[in-house]
Amino acid sequence: MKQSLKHFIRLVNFEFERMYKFLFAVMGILIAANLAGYILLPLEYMNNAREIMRIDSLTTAQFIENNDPFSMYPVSISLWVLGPIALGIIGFIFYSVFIWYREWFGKNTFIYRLLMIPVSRMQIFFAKFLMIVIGVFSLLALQLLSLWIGEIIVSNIVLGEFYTSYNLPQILQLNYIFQIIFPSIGEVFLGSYIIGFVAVLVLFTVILFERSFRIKGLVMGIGYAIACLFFVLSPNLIPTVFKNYHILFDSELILLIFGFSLIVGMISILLSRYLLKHKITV
Amino acid sequence: MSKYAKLIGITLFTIVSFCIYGIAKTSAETTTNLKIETTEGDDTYADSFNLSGYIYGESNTLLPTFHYTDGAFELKDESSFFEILDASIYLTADQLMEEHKSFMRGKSPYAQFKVEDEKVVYAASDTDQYWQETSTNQLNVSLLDKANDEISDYTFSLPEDSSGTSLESVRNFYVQYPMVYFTLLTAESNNSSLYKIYSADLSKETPELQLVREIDSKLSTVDSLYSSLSESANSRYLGLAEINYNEYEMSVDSFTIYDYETDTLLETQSLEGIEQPNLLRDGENLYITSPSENGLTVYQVDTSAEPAALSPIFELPASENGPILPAFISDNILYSYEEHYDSVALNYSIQINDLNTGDLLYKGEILGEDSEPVDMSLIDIQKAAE
Repeated sequence: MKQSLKHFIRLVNFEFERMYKFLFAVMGILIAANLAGYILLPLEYMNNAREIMRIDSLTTAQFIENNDPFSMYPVSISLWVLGPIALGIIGFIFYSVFIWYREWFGKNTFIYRLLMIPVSRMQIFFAKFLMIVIGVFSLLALQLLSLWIGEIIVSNIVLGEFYTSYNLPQILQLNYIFQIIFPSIGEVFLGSYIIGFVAVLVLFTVILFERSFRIKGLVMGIGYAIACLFFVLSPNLIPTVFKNYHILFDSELILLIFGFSLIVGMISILLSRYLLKHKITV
Repeated sequence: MSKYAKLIGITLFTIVSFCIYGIAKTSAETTTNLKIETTEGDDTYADSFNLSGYIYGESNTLLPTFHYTDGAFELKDESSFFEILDASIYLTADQLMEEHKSFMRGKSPYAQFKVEDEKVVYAASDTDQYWQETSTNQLNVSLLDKANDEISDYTFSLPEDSSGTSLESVRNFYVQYPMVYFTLLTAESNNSSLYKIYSADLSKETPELQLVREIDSKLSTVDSLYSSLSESANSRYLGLAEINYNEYEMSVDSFTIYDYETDTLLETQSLEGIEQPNLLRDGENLYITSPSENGLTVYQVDTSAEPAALSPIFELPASENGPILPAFISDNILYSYEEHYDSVALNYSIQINDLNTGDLLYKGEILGEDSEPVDMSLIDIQKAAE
């Protein structure tokens, strides 16, 4: 068991060594873009404010009466902040595919050596999966840190009455995108990210189908993914079947969707295990 | 160990960041607790009503819903996640969800419920429960016996002579067990809408809907005509009126009172000079309230005369804060509320007056625990169970 864990940690570290350049690149873009937003947008606001106050001979109070004070809200909905988030999401979807295909199509065909390592093949699977999990959460953590620092920077550029200050939890509630990425309710946060990582497991299974059976496998994999999607969303059909929106309580509907997601996750793991063990051969 | 430095570093960074965020979130959470501060009268009346509504947050987003029952506020946000999901802003539906959850399965919280000491009756059309382009013309009725939690379900179809009629929704119903009377909004084949009164005898083995009467197509039901709150008590009277629309204003010339028990229609005297009339029912008695320059005037409706005569009972003096709006009348006591906006918050006061004398029995203001105004919206007010 101890040996097995040691191998697993080594595998995870190995995968991390291959991923960290990509991760740090995305993190670098996030920090740079966010910083630009934290500096440029408040400066633009203050310049506009001074210009308007000068032209219309307004006092600060008069200006504030007719114009909204600045806050982290316009920064949080700008491309400087939302752009890196989109980049991170697309990047990790791409990386979730790349993390497997690089083994076959990289400089060296590494998959053979990987599968020859005297460890359970599922350890390879879970090491890659854990990499995605660590990568996503580390980006989220960096975004939280960035917003916290951003609030300090912006509040030092836009002073006094021109600025409405919000703490970090409030900033996350201002923006619809952040409400999805950082749900304020713990159960929603946990549930939505578990379902998200189940989707990664399904994607891995589709890739293994393709690697096992090539074109036929790709078709099977896509079919499997669509079936999983329908299965997870099927509780939403229950009101339609019974012609009653209230046949299930909202809590029951959420629990069913979550439960079905976990079932899909388990099936994906078992299918992946079968494919890795019997169909992907050295 | 150094070969794991980057992995350990990034993992620690992630865990520590989320932990700090969690702590910051918990310490930043400010629960807006509410209280009712008695400003005048006997504070024992503070337990005689229930409230529900929303509290607004700093970024003008709706925050927790609140319920005020048994003299205490409960913020729904403080319940578990799954309780929040199943909670309803409407007091009746929420109370039934807590006390009789199995009865509420399949029931729309926005439909009609009549709650009595021993029974709960629910009525809704299929369209109320599941919107369909073509109505199935079915009315679903459910009866709960509170004593033994026994549920009896009935599904009624419109009578056979209703071809061309499409059932849209249940607008009102009255229970005089075993008889139940329904006011249904129907769509007719000539594209008009019509209110029709049907009855059913639930004591029969196979109860059926019987058409009692069609209401003049010019008339509409007047529940919550000028008020955002509606009465939910089981009343034998149905308020109807011809509503005139002039640009952005509504007006009514007179009310027509339908008596479910006697199947009679009675028109009131002209409402000329009576602005924004609200019809309130208290058992066998009917009242009309109207905002006036000096406050709120309450009229008693004398149903023994034809047309029904209105006699002013008393006038509630206007408040410096804003208009007084009637909520309901129960046991000869008028429950009303004031809604006033002071550029910071929309806040409310509850006022209770004796209907016979007009005497103020109670007035209380809804405030935060720190006695500061709280920006909120009142959705429902009802008589508390005794």
